[in-house]
Amino acid sequence: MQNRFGIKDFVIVLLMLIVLVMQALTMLASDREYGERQKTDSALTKSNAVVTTTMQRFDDSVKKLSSEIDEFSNIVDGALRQNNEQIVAALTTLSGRIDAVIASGVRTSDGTPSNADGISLGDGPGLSRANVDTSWAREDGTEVTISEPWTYSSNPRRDPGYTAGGEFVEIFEGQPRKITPYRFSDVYGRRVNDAIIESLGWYDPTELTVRGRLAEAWQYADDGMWLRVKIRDEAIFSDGTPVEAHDVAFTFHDVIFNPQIEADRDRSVYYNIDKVTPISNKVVEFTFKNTNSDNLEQAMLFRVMPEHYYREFIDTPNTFNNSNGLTMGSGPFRLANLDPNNQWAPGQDIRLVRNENYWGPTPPVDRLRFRVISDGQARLTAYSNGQGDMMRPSADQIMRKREDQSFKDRFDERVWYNMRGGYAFIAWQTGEKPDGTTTPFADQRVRLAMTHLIDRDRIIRDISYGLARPRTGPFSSTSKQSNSDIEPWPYDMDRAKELLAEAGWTDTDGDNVLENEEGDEFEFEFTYSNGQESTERTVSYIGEQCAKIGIRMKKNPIDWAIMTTKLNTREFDCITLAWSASKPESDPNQLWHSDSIEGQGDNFTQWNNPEADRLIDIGSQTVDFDERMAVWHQLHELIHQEQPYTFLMELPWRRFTTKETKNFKEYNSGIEYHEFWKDSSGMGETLSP
Amino acid sequence: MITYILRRILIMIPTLIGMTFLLYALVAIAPGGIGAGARFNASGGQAGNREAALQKAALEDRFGLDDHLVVQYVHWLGRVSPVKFGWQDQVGPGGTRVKLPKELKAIPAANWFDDIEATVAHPKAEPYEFASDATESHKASVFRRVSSEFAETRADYLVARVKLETAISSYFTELRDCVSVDDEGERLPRVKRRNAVRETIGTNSYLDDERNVKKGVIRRHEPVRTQPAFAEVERLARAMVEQREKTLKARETYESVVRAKPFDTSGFTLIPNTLSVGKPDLGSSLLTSEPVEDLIARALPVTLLLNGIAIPIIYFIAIPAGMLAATKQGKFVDTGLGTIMIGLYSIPIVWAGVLAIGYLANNAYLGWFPVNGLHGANADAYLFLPSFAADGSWHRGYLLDTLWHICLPVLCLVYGGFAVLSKQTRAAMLENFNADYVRTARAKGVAPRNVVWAHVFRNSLLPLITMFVSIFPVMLSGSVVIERIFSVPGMGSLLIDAINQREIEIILANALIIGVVNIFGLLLADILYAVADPRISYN
Repeated sequence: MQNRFGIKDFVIVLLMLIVLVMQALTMLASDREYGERQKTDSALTKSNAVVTTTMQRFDDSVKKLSSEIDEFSNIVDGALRQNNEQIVAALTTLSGRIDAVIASGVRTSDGTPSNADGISLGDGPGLSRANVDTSWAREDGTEVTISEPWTYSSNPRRDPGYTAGGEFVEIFEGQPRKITPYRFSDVYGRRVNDAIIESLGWYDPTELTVRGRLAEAWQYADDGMWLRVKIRDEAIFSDGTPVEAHDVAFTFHDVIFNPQIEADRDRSVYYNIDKVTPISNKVVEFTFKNTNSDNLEQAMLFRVMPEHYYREFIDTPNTFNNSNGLTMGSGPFRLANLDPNNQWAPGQDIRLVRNENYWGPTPPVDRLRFRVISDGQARLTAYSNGQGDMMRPSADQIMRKREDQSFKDRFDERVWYNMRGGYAFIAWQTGEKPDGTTTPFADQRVRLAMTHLIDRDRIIRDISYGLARPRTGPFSSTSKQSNSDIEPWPYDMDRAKELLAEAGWTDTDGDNVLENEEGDEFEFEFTYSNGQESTERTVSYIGEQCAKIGIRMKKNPIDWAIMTTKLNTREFDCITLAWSASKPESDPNQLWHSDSIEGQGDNFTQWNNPEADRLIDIGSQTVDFDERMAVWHQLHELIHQEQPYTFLMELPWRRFTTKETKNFKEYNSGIEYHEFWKDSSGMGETLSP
Repeated sequence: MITYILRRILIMIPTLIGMTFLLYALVAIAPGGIGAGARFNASGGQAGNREAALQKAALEDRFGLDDHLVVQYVHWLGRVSPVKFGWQDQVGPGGTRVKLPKELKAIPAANWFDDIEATVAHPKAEPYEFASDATESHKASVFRRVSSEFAETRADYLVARVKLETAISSYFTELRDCVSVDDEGERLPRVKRRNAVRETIGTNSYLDDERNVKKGVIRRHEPVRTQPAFAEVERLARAMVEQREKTLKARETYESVVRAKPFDTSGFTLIPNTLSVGKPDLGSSLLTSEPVEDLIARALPVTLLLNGIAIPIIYFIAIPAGMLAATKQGKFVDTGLGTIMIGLYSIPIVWAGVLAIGYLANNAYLGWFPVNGLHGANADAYLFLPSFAADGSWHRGYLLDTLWHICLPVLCLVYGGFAVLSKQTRAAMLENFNADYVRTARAKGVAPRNVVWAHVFRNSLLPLITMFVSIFPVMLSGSVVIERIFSVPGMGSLLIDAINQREIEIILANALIIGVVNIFGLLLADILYAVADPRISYN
């Protein structure tokens, strides 16, 4: 038995043979590849020479052309000058007339700077400012802001080959638990709600200032204690009922601040609004608890729910609290299924259809569909199979698909920075840990040295595949809140060494580890959430840098669930995380004010700086936009100097879209769902398994 | 037999209590504790943190998360128990359970002020009675009025409590900073500092992990009334007394209305308001407030569908394969089948799933199957059965569409299951093949086919019964990996999500259901033994 060639032996021999054959094949393949490369290389050199001569010829003809253009523009200039004079004269008479009308009424100001030259956009009802009725306003001389009508920022109808219709499918990477307004808790719920329910105002997609949406005009007290809003007459909910002041009051008092409704999160967002009072059908007044810089935003940006639809659900609060998909509003889309007894539930696709009653600019696509594919590989496969029009790829999926020509022929890669993009940082523990000890990072010079020590450009290039950019402070670079004069600290080992020496950290005993006067070695623990490869690599890189300069770093990977406990107890030396924002102007109080050190505030670095406190207090009380921005710029500079965080990078939004998706604009506000359209003429049918 | 079954069912009760308690304790001591996800969610992201403490308090108040852990567990037991003691719940509008109101939490640090308890008035409301001709809608509107009033005062009371707690916390911090410096205002060295703090405050750390002031510290601490921050503590404590009175009043009114029974009682009454039998209340999700029943009702059919198809396939392939292997012991078929099945068993599901998607579902390769989900995009519009439309085109229909979609998930569920079952069958068969009675049967010339089926197979059934009942819990629990890869919203993803968010109610409900099914399964197995084998008897 032992000497016989059994079945097992046969299998083993077979396996060995297979391995050998595969080895040989691999060698053959790489050899051939090498040959191919040799060939292309020589071909390239040849074609290079051809290109150079062609370029020479091209240059000559360009020169000739430009001289001809010069001649032509001279002629045109003359004609234009003549024309201009006529236009200016007409404008002067017109503005004279407007002035007269304005003088007779209440003081008005320019609304939000929406579209450059103040020419009203083609699709709106063409309101001229002088026609706006301001009789609803308080007559105490407070300025009335009249907003441009809510329209497209980029009109799809002007695109060549524009066609309306079709279904746009977005693939979500996570499962929204709920899409009921004020009960959803994730970014997916928010995106669905953005398409269905409107608020009084909205961010201008490019300027990021608050502009009227359901609101036609508003009057905001100089001391910021009240706000009176006129709702557009034409604004209606998707069932045709007009949007009225009582709906706004209902949303605020009966929904958000109804203790039986579990809208805990939103209560903390709109905490400063005291009361919402309907003045008339179309006029509503807000009063605030304190003067606060974001009062206007708080009041203008909450979603207005139709009272007639929601009343019965609110009266039996559990029905509303438990609901998953009770979503109805005045937005460009509505839920395809509005049956409260058979609501959308997690696990199903979220289907939206165009709101045919929409009072504003009609969205081009007929239907929106959001589907969830949580596994990354499956998501990309389904997407490239044609099951979706938009998805959010991971950084390495982008890198992988950049080399895939057939993918690039069918899909666009979009990477852009907007107000909702976040930033990654390292937070240094500047205060006392629970055991009463402090870290070396209590010293500003040490923190600055750490920033100099970390080559952030390299992290961006090598770990984030270049899909990020340097960041200098806590404010989004797309927002005016950010001080654009500040340059990121350079990567500079020598400067880091100098700063550490100044702070008393030198290698006195020659063991390549820095010591302070008491002889303590410079040692710290780097806390980070485990499970993400890029974080792991970043931390390893920082560890190497620390070792180079003589600092001992210990890694401390922890579970995400423990992260909040760690932050709350302040039990860490340094920690790396990322913040994301939801509005252009973030409230620095939460992260940087010393008040937020106590209790469970998010100033977990315990950075206590009286100057910062002073600036934050001034800033949050300043109602005037430009003055406030000047204060935030100072704060930005201060944080830059102090470095309680080392700002690693600003994170962009990443999307894949199909080539058929047209007029998709990468806005500072993110994505505007009512603007893009689907080209069904080219590319062929989308597959829908 | 009957006594045996009864005994087994009685033993089930302590088993389930022990199991759920263990699970409860595990979740409670896990990092983050019970409801970590909901707590994190309540505190919000960057925008919502200003009032985080208040939101968290509201959440804890709603679900009773601020009670002692054992109390919480006992409450849970009371809810899931089908036998209920005490006041019977009523079924309110929209299926809400109307219960008697919870006790108000005491004023923190009340023991620092001698007179506080004395000043709180404890109003007693008159018993409320509905007129005999009161309509349903009238009762409901009365109930709505008093319940919303109670909810409002209760929310204000909560605000007052949170404010007071914050003030107490900053009082302690101030005190700590005071005693950590010497007479010249220099910071004491670490050890001295710690001792000074311990002497004054009673312990070194007066905040727990969540940075709330520890209750024990408040109880033991003798307040330093001269401390500037103490004035604020006193002011807020007195404000809270006022609010407590209002809230107690609203609570009394609410209770009297509930006692007047505006709605039908739930369950079946045995002794009025003392003992009743009702449906177990599995609670609701901390994050979404959805009843756990609904969540399970949504996820279970998906898992049952997948497993209901996969498990029969496994059985129909694995058992005949095992039998075949046993009859051809040592031959090529035996080794071949064994190798293949063990080989399949060794392929990790994650890898197989990704490969299946990458090659079988990717249009760039084969693209035979859909990538994800259970239904196609327009499945709602399909007829159930395949059909031809008026224009003669063929529609696959809901049934075929679903089957097509579950091909890959079922494939992944199935391939690993053959090995164990077939090996088990093979071993059981072999044991009997070598038995004396088989040799006798063969010797007297019974046809080989009859030997296998009538003699060996029937006697090999016993171990298979054990295997068979262990399916039930598997049927319910679902597979996390497969559900994730193929985006199928079944029990596995429900449970794993609940575990990540520390959603205690979902975890316990799942454990309870699976536990009950498992115990009944084992009981069923024992009964089947007796049925299959006359030699076994439980009397």
